[in-house]
Amino acid sequence: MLELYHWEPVGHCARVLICLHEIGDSYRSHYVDALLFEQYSADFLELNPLGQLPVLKSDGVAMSESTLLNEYLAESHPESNLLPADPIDRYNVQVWSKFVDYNLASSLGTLGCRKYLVPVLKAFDQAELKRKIAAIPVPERKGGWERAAANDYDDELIANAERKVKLVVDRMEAALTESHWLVGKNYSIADINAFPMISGLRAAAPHIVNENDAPHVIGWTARIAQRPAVRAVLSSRDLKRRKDTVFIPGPEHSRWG
Amino acid sequence: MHIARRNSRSVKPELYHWEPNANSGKPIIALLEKGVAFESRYTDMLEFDHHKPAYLSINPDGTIPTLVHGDSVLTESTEMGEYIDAAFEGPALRPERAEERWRMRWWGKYLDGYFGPSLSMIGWSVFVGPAVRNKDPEELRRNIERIPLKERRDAWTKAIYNTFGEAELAESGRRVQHGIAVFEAGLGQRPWFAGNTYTLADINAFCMTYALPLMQAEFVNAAKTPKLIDWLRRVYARPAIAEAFRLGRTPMAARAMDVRKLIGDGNA
Repeated sequence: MLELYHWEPVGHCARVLICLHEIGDSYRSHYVDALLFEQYSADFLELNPLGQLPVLKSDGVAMSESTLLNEYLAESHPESNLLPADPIDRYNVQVWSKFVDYNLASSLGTLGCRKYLVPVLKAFDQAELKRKIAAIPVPERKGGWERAAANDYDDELIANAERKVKLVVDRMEAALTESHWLVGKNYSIADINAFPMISGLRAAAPHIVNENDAPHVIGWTARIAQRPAVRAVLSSRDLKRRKDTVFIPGPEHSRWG
Repeated sequence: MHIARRNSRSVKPELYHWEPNANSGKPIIALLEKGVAFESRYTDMLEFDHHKPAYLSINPDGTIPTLVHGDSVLTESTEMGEYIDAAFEGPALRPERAEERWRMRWWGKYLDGYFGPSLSMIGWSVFVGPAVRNKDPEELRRNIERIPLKERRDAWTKAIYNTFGEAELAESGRRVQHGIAVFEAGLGQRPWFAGNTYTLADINAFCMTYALPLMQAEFVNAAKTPKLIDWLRRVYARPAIAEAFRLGRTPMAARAMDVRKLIGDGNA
């Protein structure tokens, strides 16, 4: 029996939820409320000491890192055809996923939080919020929350995040002009991994991700959004508890090279 | 990022690499472990070979290593390992079980995204920067301008002009220490990084940790990190490792042999 510890069907959590629905495996859902800092609780840190969602539990083994979870699920279900067989195509699936992880995930966190998380945190009791952020036991996870609580986004940080988004979106636009999907002729986990990030960026960075500047990327999101598995995830009341557009700090920006 | 084309696989692969260290070390060791014959194209990072037009015509990102196999060009070293294991004959470097495969990749991500950048920042501040700073300032400036990726340009600028901040070096030191503890804990649970067999995770980890008993002698030694030392002894004993270090041209390879002597074989 699979168990998924997840937050809203956005970002990294959406990736794995979509993959689970695509392969059709049943799973037990555990909602972890990231705005209540439940991902930093002692119970959750037992599952993932890095304090990041989602976590997939299979036969008692807790696994993390959404791109790797989707590879695990796709490899365990070859009949789902979510991973190509050819070694070069597989390499390209991994490289697209890594490129998205390193450039989009951190940038989406920065741009999305500045626009959407800052006002949400303003409504919190500030002393309580400060205390909770200070108590986060994983040092790498504190910076993003401190920044959002203080609305401390300098021009260089924003420019760097936008530059990375544009880099990825331009590459995707070029790839999707030639093909329906990112790798080869079929929908794969490369598409699943990129989709929630691009969806988030349509809200967080509409001046970069839009119909005019990236028409093929937008067409690709529309094709994915029509898939039954994706519709099931995005519309499920069981998965969605918070109503607004939801953003939390993502992985850190790279510190070196 | 470079997307590779599909290829015909009968041709001999060519590997553009620097020292058998960090990212260059991963595909060198993977190819040697599998017994794949390849053309070694030593690319001198300290002479900025990888930013010269000839190299950029093969890998426009100007990163090392690059694997050329038929008309496929692969530039991501961790994922290259999986390609090498899938595309060539020889002993398997990926585990059979899905869970161990996940763990192998988890270590790859941890090493590439967390441990590696911090260790590299320190390594570049003490080795790469000092090794190139005496060159002609005008040549250095031109070399920086030619670097295609902004992140790499920023790293080289810092190394050449020695503008590392005290706080960032201290934070990198903290992360390296944290990583050492995570490695020790992982190897306390399983004989190899991913599980019961030697895999790409061990190769990746070795390329980042092989010099730690010398560089971080105070923290990585038989008393403080017995599991990590025992694992390093087992990896150093593999014939592919000695063969890999023979491809090195700087004192780094000799240093690896010093480390091997320092940690011994555990039977003393």
